[in-house]
Amino acid sequence: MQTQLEDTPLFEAIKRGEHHRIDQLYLQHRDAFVTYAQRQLYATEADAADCFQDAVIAFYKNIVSGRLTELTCSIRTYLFSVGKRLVYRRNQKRQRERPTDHEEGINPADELDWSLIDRFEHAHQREILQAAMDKIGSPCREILTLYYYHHYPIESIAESVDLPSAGATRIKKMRCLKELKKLVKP
Amino acid sequence: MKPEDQQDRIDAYLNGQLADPESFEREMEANPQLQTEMEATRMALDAIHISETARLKHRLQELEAGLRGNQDQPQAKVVSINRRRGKSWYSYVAAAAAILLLAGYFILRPAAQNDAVLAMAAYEPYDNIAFSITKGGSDEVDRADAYIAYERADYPAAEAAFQALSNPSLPDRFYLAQSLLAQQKFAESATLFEELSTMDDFNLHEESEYYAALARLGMGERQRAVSSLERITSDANHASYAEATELLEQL
Repeated sequence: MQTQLEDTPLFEAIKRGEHHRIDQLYLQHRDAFVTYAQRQLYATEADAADCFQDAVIAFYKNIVSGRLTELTCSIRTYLFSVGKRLVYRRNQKRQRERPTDHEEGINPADELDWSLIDRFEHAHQREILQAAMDKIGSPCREILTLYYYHHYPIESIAESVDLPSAGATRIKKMRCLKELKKLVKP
Repeated sequence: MKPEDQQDRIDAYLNGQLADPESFEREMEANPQLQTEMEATRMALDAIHISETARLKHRLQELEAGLRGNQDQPQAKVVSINRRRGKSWYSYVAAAAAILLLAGYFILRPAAQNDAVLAMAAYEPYDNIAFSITKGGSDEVDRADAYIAYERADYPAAEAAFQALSNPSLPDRFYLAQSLLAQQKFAESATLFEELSTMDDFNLHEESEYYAALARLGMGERQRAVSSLERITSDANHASYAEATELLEQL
């Protein structure tokens, strides 16, 4: 099992927005979590894996958004605590949960911003919003995603989408956002 | 104010980076155009988040599909590590009878033997997860008899049948130890479970560690049992973490 210290390089890489690192996170801890969830939380393998995917994404988003700035325990502990909560929720939905005190006490999952997960669960306009992003096309989609989701600095975005300068990228980002706002307006 | 400056302020507000958000909110209340822009920005950001989260999710789903694909390849015999929760009524009747007998007996000798009652109250015979993959073939008849007796909670018969096997596998020895523990033959089961718990390539070695602790408790070796349980509970990923935690609380 990785220790907190050994996790630091990966944590720093994610902070820099290396989003492909979620593959590494997933592969490193997936088996242990699925086994744990099956044995201790009575989850099916499919549910456990699905919840763990959401846990990895939530963990990533909380780092790049600046909500989680430093590790106070190992990455596995974070992922397990978020994944566990997601399994509990899933079990509740399936009425499979046994009594538990999992909401009590200090939990690393408390450090995360759950609104990032909760926000879209019951959104009526989910499909419309998704369709709007599909419509704006490239490079707007990449620029807005890198800026607002992965929190890349404007200079890095300029490089990524091959624009001549940070200023040009900034103007392009404004135009893209304006376009997207038009598409999502109720 | 230029539109891009206004957008920067909206972005900063939504990211919690504005120095005086209350003042911005007051400004918004007085300015319907700013309010409209704020709402449109919120929706645009929601669209970005939904879309990118879906993309990342898809990426991980593909990874998962790759892992599953590998797992679905034909393999040699595999003993499931999943513990089935459904139990036959034989097990419940046998467990209840054992607890009642022990409780009745030890009420008369409470001081020294409460640990044995505790051990048996916490004991749940491990479901048979080996029989279905080991049955078949003339050589397997005796083994099948052992597991059938075990599933019927006829532990003396199961013990005899497992002992009689000429070439017992690790799962066979695990269920022999279970049969012994179910009969409160604590010392014999402790030895066997402890031996199995050291075999890292045996997929029930962690469970064996827990049952060994139970057997030690049954023998009245409370301190040794507590040490083992503490070792188990120090690892949240341990297969018997929940059971060990529960028992430790009682101790």
